[in-house]
Amino acid sequence: MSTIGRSLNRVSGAFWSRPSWRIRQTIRLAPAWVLLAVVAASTLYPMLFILFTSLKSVSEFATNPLGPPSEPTLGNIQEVLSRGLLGTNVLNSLLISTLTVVVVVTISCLAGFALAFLRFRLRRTILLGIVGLLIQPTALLMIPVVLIVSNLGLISTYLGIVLVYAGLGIPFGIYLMYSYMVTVPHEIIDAARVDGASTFQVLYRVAIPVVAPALGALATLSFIGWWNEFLFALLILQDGSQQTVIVALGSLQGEHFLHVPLVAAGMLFSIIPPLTVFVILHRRLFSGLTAGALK
Amino acid sequence: MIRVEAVRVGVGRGPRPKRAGKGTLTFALAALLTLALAACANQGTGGTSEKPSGKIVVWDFNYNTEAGKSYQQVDSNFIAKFPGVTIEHVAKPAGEYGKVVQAAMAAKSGPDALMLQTPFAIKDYYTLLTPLNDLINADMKSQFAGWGGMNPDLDPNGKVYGIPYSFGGTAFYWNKAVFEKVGADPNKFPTSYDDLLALFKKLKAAGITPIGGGDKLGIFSSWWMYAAIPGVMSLQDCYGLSNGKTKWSDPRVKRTLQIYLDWIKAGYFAPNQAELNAGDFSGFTNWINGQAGVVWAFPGYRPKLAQDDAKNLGTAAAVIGIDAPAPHFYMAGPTLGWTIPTWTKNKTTAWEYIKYMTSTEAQQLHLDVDKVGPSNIKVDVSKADPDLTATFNLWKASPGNEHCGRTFKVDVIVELGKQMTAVEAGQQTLDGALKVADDIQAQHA
Amino acid sequence: MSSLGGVARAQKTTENRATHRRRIDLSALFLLAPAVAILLVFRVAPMVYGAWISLHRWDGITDPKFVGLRNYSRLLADPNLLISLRNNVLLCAALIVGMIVPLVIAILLHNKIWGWQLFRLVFFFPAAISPLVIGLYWSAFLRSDGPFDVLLRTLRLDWLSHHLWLADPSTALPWIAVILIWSTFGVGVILFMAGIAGINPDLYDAATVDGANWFQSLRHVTVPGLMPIIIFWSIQLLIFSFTSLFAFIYALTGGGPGHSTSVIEFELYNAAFLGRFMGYGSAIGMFILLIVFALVALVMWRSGRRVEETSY
Repeated sequence: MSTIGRSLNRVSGAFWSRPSWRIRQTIRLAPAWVLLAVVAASTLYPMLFILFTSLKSVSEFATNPLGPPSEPTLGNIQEVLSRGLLGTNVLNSLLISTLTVVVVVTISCLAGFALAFLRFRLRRTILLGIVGLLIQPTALLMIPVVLIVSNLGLISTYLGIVLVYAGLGIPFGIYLMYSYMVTVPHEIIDAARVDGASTFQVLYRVAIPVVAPALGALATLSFIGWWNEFLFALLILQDGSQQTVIVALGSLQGEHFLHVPLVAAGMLFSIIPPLTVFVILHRRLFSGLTAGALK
Repeated sequence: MIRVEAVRVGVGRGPRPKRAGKGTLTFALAALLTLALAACANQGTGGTSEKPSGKIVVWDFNYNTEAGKSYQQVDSNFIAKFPGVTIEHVAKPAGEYGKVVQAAMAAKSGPDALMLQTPFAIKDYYTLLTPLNDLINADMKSQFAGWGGMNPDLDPNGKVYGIPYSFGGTAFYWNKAVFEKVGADPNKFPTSYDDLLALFKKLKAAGITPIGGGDKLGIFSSWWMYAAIPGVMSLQDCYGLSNGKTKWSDPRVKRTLQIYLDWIKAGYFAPNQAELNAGDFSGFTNWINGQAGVVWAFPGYRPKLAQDDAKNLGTAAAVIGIDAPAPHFYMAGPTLGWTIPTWTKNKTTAWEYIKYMTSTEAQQLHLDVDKVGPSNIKVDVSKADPDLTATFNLWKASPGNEHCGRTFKVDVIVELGKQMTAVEAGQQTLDGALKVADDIQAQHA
Repeated sequence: MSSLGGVARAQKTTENRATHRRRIDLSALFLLAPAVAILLVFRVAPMVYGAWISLHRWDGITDPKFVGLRNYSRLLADPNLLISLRNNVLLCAALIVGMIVPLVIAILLHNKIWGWQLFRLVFFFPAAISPLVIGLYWSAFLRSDGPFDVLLRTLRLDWLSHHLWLADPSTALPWIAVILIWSTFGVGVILFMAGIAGINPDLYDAATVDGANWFQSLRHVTVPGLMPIIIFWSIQLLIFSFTSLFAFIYALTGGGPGHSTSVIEFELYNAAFLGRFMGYGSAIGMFILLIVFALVALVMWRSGRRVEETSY
């Protein structure tokens, strides 16, 4: 551990930009590196497990649940494809997640800006309300929300589910955007105002570019989060053609009998898109989360 | 210009401020466009209102599973009979079906033809279901023996709110080779408690786990109750468990669960049974490997259990006489019902559909293709798997017999299962577990 | 002339201020309207409705029946509910103590050892997977004849093998704590790495000069420097442990032997959807809200920060 300590004591920019230092550092930290590698293996193995399981038959999974398939079969994946999982369901999930992201990011950005820079009358109240909503357990909301949605005639509509997701995601989005907006130095805002910019111009030309990383972070997190949502998608999108991947996954199991390899094959389709989005956009996500910490 | 300077200095490490004009306008337009698209997208789905061409929406939880492979054929047969009808058949997750139905009932909107888990769901939702007495003719009445379950008070002569569908019970499966090995008759299964105990002792002595299967969430213990309760009480007393007339702490109920606990102590179950799911195949692994002698499951599990070894698989109806050599009744009956909710706008088509779904023709298909037993006594079960035939004939012979276990309140039986796992782990007493069940049952009064 | 001009100018200034104020209010209205509208309809209204229903007995289809505070007295007298609440508190404490994991990893990765970007990426994976998938995977992994068992035996830890990890009440909840930490540490790593990068390196040099060893500089430089992030993340974990554990528990143990791994959200679902006690379920929901609110308020008060300043 002293190696870590020594490196802590040397945390300063110039030092570890030198390659030789980095290699020496890595060698000194070798035991820690091994530990990190083990942790990384534990976060990667689930993917492998799902892949293996999806390639097994039911009887093989019963006798060999956890190793590589000795007689791999594509039957499960074919079955899942034939049930429309890849086609309709993935498209549904994509559509809903993307729409939700657009709505949440837009609304959060506008609201966060207003709360951060405009001294209007109900500002404190609304801010308190937003934070209060952050801690509201969503379990309580289920039946009332379904009732409200159906009274508005929005059951089984994409608009309905997007609005529900927006309602669920906006508090965090506003909170995030607000947190970033307040770090924008006042000089910039004031300078823009002095030049006669209207409120909206200040928003478009000054605030948004500064908090762009946060927008990226919010978008990525929202996409992944709403892709994986199960309960409201189940209750609000009642038509078969509207089912998202996660809901379709749930309908793969029968009342008494659980076909694990088939469910695993379905899971492949449900985890690959968000993981892909994440891997592609992860730098933006990380820099967005990082930027906020550096005041 | 001062403004530009200030912005550059302030932003520093961040991205260069973009030319906001074009970018943001496009962005706003895109957002508005997608919102508009979303609003338009919902026009095409239709929901539950019927079109003049006669569309019905059908919900069940078999459709996308092994138990519903025949449904596509059934649906196309129906459309061939009634051209101009369109069916939207929606598969719902079995595990969430209760929630889905409940949400639909609360919102008073959903399908035109709804499959329900019965008899308990009939009692829960009959106020929002269409009574079918006027539509059922005498011929149809005599075709099914499960009408009691379609009435909230289990009265076959009262108002019925659905057509019985799908047959369930419990069956014993055994490994014939294993039986031979320990000197038990491979073609017979014990029907009395004493004989069953003797069998398990034989298996145990030979180093074989007598009972294979998993008990996660205590579900396996509930399945055992379905086999054992007929051995300790009458059918009417069993119905009493669903409405508090018979207490869960009744010594007879306690006896059946005590047997289960004794068997765990005696080592008749797999040592890791508490972590295996009863309903997924991992619960039967040790049985499949020939390391366990007996499992109990449902009729229709036979094809799954007999993957490679059909000849070696013995099956019999799960009936055990406990306080007498023979049981008082057999815990079996229709487990599902097809209903027409009151909000439907296409009652005629919905009625024709559920009539067809439960007809001899459709249930024959359901039996032959999906291996699920029928509620329609005209269906020919002679060529089905022996466990189905045996249990079905037993049931046919006792009219008015509903699957008593399916009348129990869902939360009570689920909680009892959970309490049983606590008892098995040494954190609860059997008396305490049964008292919890009684307390919850009392909340429903 | 000038006085008139002065008055006129004074008038103009006042007018400008009032008009300006109104303009600000209007802009704010326009910017906030969509958010407020959606939140009122889909978050506030259901909560008010839930509070109202918690005073009734309702099965979802027949008319609700007013029963006053009976649901709440039932709630407080239910031993299983209190066990679940205890589990929530234990898991919350575990998650917060478990912040050590992302902290240490962030420190290690901060040194930009070989492959640090890959590690950062891979550690985030569990946060991108649905809890249902995580539950299925871990319940298979920890089976007494599963890969974890194989691993234990390979490491010659035979005395630990063949243990029913998730089905034994004494080990199930600890394992769930581990799994939850595993699912969330990736996010913590990112946040803490950001925070460490923001600590002034001169502070470390000053500490070394003062003769501090690694532990002391950790305690007196790193941790205080990360305090805002630690507080922020603690609050997030607290909210998470009281409002988002349902899917994990459902998929992992279904509540475990008895209720030993159940959480209060799970009790809500069971009461509302298995037993169809909508009123009682809503009362549980209100109860959760109260608890979370009290705990968050407590944390914020102790950390001496007001709501608006807790940004990172």
